[in-house]
Amino acid sequence: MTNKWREKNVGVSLRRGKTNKKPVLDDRDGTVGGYEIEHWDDHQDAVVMPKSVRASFKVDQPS
Amino acid sequence: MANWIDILDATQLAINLALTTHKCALYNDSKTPNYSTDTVYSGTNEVSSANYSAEGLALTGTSLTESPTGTIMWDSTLNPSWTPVTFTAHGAIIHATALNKDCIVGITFGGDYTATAGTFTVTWPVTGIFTLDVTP
Repeated sequence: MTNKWREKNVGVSLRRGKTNKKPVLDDRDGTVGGYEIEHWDDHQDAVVMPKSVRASFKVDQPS
Repeated sequence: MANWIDILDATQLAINLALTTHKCALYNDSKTPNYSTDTVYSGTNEVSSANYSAEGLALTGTSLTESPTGTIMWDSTLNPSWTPVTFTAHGAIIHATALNKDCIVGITFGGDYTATAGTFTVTWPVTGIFTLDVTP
């Protein structure tokens, strides 16, 4: 009886304010490139932290 | 790249990085930028959602400075943000809206990021959107 009652309520959460912050890995180097944040009401935010685009004038190094 | 050649050669393409009207457009993973030939903004594979306008968001607070010593840094104090939106983005292209929407720089996010009825934010690194290190 008790177990049946529990089964009928699986997946129902009345707790508000709970979030799940998931890191998103940069497929180039495996570092964390940002986050997706799941909220209790199923909406999701995304925060991207891209790396700087770099160009440089570097002389060739002696081999 | 073609635009940067035009900036530096006799064409003297007048992209003014001090303007605060350049826009940051977001694209999904179907976008395959051609850095040799893409010269102007395109809406193909741009993300779409309520509260996201085609061509993207204007980057106010842009600055072109020397930081650190020997490095030219282009940055913006505005971290573009859209809310509430529902889309998945994999990269961004910043284009000169006031100058034929010429592409300035392409940025990959290194992965898919999805916002669902939420806020999508791009947080620029403290080292700037792009840098040119002129120190040999």
